[in-house]
Amino acid sequence: MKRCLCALLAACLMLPLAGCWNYRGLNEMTIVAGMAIDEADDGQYLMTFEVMDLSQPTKTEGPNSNLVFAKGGSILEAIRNAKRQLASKLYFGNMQIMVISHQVAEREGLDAVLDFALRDSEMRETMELVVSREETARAILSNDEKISGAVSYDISRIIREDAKVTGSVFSAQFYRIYDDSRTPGINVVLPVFYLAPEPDSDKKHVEAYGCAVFKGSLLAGFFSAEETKYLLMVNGLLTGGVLTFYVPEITKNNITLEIKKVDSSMSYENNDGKIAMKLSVKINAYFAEFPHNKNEGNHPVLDQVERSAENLVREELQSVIKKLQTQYQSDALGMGRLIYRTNLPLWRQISGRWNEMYQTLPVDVTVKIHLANTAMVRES
Amino acid sequence: MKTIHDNPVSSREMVRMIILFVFGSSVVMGVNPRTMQDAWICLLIAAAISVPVFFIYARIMHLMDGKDFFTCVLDWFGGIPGRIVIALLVWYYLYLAAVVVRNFSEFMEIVAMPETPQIPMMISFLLVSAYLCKSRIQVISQWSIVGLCITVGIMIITVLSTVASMRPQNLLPILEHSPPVMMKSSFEIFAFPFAECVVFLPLISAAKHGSPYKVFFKGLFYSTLVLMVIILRNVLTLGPQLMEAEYFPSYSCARIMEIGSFLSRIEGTISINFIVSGLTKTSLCLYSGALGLAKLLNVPNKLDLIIMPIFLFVLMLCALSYTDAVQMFNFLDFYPFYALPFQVIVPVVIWLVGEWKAHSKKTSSVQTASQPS
Repeated sequence: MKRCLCALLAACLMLPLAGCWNYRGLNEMTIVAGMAIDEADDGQYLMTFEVMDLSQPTKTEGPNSNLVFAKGGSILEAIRNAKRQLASKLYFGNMQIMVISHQVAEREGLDAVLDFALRDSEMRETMELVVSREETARAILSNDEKISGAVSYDISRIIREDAKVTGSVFSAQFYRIYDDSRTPGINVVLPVFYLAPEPDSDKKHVEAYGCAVFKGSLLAGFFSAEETKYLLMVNGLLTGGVLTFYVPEITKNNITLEIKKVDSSMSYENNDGKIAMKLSVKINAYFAEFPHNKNEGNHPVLDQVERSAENLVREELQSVIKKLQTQYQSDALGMGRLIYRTNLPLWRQISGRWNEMYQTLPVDVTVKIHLANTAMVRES
Repeated sequence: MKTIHDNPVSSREMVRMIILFVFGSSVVMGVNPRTMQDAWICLLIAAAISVPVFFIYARIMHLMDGKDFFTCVLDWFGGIPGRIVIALLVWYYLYLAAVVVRNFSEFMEIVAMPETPQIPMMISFLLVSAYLCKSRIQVISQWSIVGLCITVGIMIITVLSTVASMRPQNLLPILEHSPPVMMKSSFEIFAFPFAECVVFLPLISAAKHGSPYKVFFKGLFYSTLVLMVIILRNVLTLGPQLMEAEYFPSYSCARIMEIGSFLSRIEGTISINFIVSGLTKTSLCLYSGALGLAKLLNVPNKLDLIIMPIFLFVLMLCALSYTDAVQMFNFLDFYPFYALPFQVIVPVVIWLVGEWKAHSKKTSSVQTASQPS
């Protein structure tokens, strides 16, 4: 009797633990790798889904992807409308990126996209949100040049490894975007991709363009890949990338340093309600290219290289911060958040007029570059 | 026929049961995220508020002098008032069991199985709890050893695998919320989950050795520790804003974790935690309720007989208690006020009556001792 009861109870547990009422096999799913959100002419959403093509054998030709288009008044409606042309339902559990067009980012902002992605239980919070620099968002996914079978997977990998190698895009996962968009004193920054032309042909490939800064939930403007590197430096997210500059006194060629580590710290001074920001960046780097002839001069070159690099970084940082303050009026570096987190009473006083204060906020930038080594070759 | 006293458990097992009990629904529902990055302070305040209440619980146990809780209540209060007190407590225990099961089934529906009806999940969950109750406290306590190893093990894994995505700055600014908001949140954490330990009143006497004070305070200490780890993990990983917005912050936190690029999507582990600790919590509520109901119906030795009716009763309560998930989460706002009479007022009355009885017994024995001289 007891054994029977045990067996019955064990069978009962199987239902919620292992069994599934709504079981779906792989053949009943259309796996979505990424999706693009555009505005259609009639004001509806035009969605493009990059779906994995499971009809071809992947062993010989590798995985491949197709595009599916659908329209709807809301994001979910468009997704459900896609079923009208598909045999199986779209599956979003493995989706890596969501691309939005700059029109959507400018006019509607991020609220609808963020809410939908975080509310839906199938989509993952670690997806990346990307802004398209092309006319439409679907142009990015329509590109035929794919390395890993789907443009979306390529983009996701480019973003993941960028901060270690190039420093040209921000990584913006949905859960981070949500937190940043709701935290006082910081604005959201998203990665931007575009189609770069290839020389001597009409072909184009997907490439990181830089980043897009937002003001509130609306798009404020773009930064190029080069400028993005300096934004990443301030945020302390950069762990790689290069600095290229020209010092005519040392060599006629460009000098390149490879960044090893960046330590940045932001602080502020408050003199009777007048706030001044201080930004200090310390970079550890080593020589990557130093095509230099030692006969050209006898002065200690390392120091001079360091000074020149420091000047370059300082000027670039100042120009990027100026652009953020005056042109885009977006606190993408989180200067307000710094005050909010470290001095709450002060933040409560100034939060109402922070947007105006921010535009004229003096920012003192100090840069220190230390050349850790000269790689495999002596410096002179 | 077996009774609670025939199956003594060690005080260490009792502490484990308390930890797992408090862990219960908090493992998925999160620990009151209303105060965002200040939640950990509220947790500490709630633990501090719990100290005097737990002291009263332990004092009641002490006054009972090893006797069965419900028998003592009947002795102290007399027939009808005693039965009213027992009936109140039984209602609270059984309703709590129903609420926990409903949390579980709503959670499963929202995150994993939207098309599966909830009733089969409730039935299977409650049947296992009923079976655990039928096997008595000793089996529940041994199950809690296994359960605690699993849940704490999983918790440690989830913490380690989210370390990379943690941002220490998320804890700033400290004390952003005003004292009334903080106190309200602390009070809510006190009512859910700490003071729910009122369920242990009928069970503590099963621990033959060891003082009830030690059992309660050790349980409080370790469960605060566990909840603290959960809060810190959630706020550091998700950030205060998202933690506040999410219904199931621990689950979302587990969705984010990644070990390298090969081990991810381990959010199922959080569901396991919920099943294990939720099962313990439901079983303990059912068991306490069954003991009380047996006393109420004057069939203290026929526990096996009343388990199945109780199971059906709780199942019905579970299905009827809320119309939907939104109502369930909204009820959390009112829960402290609903629970306060059962968690604090009834025990305080029992304690006062117990003290009075013990005192009058002492004086009468002193009088009888002094009379012959």
